[in-house]
Amino acid sequence: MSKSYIIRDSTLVEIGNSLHLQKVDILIVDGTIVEISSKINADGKEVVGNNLYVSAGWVDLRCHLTDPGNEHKDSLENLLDSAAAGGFTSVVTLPHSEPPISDKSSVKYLTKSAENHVVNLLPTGVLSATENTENLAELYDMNNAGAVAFTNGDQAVSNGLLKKALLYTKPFGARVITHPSDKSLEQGGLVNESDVTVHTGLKTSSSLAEYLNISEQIEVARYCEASLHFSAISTEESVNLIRTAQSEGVKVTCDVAIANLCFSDQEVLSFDENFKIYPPLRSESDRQALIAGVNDGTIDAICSNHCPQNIESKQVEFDYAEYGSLALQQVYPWYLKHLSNDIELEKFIEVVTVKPSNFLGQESSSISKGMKANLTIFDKDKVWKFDSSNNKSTSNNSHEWNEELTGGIVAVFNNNLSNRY
Amino acid sequence: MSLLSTKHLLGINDITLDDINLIFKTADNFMEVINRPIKKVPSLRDITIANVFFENSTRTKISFELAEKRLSADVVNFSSSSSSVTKGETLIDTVNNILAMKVDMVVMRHPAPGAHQFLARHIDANIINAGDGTHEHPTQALLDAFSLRQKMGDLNGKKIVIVGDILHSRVALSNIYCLQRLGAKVRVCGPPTLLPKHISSLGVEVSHNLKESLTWCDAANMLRIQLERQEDKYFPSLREYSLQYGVTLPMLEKLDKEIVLMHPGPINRGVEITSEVADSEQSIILNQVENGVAIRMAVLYLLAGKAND
Repeated sequence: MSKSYIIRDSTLVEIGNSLHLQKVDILIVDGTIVEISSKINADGKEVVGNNLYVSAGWVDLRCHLTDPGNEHKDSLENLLDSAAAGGFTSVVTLPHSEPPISDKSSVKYLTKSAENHVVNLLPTGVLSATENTENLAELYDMNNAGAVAFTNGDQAVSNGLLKKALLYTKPFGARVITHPSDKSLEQGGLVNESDVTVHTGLKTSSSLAEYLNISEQIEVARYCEASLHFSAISTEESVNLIRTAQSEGVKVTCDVAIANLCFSDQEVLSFDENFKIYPPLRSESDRQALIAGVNDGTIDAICSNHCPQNIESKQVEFDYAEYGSLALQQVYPWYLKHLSNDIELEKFIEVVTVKPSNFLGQESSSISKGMKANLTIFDKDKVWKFDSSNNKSTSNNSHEWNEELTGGIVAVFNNNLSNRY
Repeated sequence: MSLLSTKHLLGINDITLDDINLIFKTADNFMEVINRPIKKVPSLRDITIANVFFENSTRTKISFELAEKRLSADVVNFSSSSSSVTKGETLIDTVNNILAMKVDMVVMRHPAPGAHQFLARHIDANIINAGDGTHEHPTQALLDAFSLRQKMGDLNGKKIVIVGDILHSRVALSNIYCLQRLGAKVRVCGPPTLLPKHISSLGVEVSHNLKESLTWCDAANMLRIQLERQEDKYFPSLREYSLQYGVTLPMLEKLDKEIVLMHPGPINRGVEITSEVADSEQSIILNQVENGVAIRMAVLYLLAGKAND
């Protein structure tokens, strides 16, 4: 027996689609879009809402992996459920589980575990073996096993290692991702160094640590004539450096975490440990530059930087709290509340769909008749509470815990499966 | 009875000029009390106060304890040189255990900036910050300003230089807020590696020249070099620091006016100031200590009044 769904009265958001920004009904049968028109008369489960939008399924380029090793923070299943509830049908995971994703078998553990889920799990592997950070891990083998990119996450990557990695991966086209930061300049800083955080007495980290390292890594990429992706950039100077490099033909791309777009270092004045995140929240001028970078195309994607932490590692003094905040389920509400005046909806959709898909070399799903349904349906007017009944994560480290949020996901479709909320 | 605008004393940044003036006025009264033959009043006899110190302290702890006892409060002390985290018990658990014994106020020193703000979100008692890492030390700033006011009168327009390790100091930030609220002009002076990059955004002047700063100021607050809070070396040696930023008697004698010298203690004699300076007429270091008791009595008294509402 076939499964049919009808998405009712939903504004289609897909630049280039002839129905872009038009209200449509969409009929999905057995995971395939069979009809799109202004009014469909057919049988099927109805997806309805007050102010519905439909776009291609969202793609997250950065979330933290806690399984294996830290399942008490979050399980793989809960991570994927959080992604789906946040509108994401593909998530790229960082490799620093315990043990890290550093060989073929660990890549396969992830891809096997995520089979038959509405969300595609796209694992990254480590660039270098943990015991010797200057030696490459088995990148070719992991690439063949399904790793979509290689990164050392938030750990430092020396210029020497980066050069080796960029050259070595060229023949098999693997992607290399770094989060640049000069650890000797970070000096263990917890928050941004600024005229705001000077009031807190907290250890600070200068934005210099990030952009100096970016400027060096741009030169390494230029030298190697290779592609390099910067993950979760956070400073104005980083945006400027990348913009200039791109205009000179250096193949660098980048993404920004939603929290760094929505919040500034003003938030840490309350010492709320949920705002202890990495990279740290920067100055308002950095935030504005990041928004400009999204709008002018310098920044290719908005990522969640979702990082579950159990209450014992988070509900302590700011100094001792682990970094990170939940974000997957808040991406859309945060966009509406903090960014929708500065970033048009169609631009937001572009940086969570087609642009990250292009970076990953994946065919971007298109909303048209005959295509497989990989869709996110979201309701601008949906009001919901971020509490234990709606939270999909094992953890609840969020400054909005038990608060009401506006804007929510109504359904996701992918892999001939659907989740509805 | 007039009371403070806040339930806690977390930092000078959280209180108003009216609060500061009220604390000073109350401390003036308590100065008279602690100079009587019987140095005790019954004001807080129904109040139990826990002094919870997660960092070493001698004078602050004694000063608070004395203040509490002179107000007739019941006092319990908890000290741990390491933070609660390293012992496996969370700060909330430690303090809640103490509060379960019906404690009304918590005086806490803690190595983590913002630890008191964190605690205030989770427990109900009045909290007094006796120093939180490199953030604030409000009662020290109050007693510093009180001592200056005693020596120099109204601080409006007076020039105060804070010398030394501003980066690792909780005294500096609280002093800057407090002195500025009282209308004083504040300058910080020290090696650039020990000054936060954005310190001038607080409206203070920045200098790296001690001699010129001594010429400029009416009073100099010589901060202790916090070697224990420096993970990296910010200057090559104490000797070299002292050569550039230590105050000696000949330096004071060359000035065309008599300036006031302060130090929050404990002094590294021969580093921040020489013994001759510490023991000179211009030094009000021991007045600071004496006034500390009166200031802390005032803060406890005013906050406890709030607690009883």
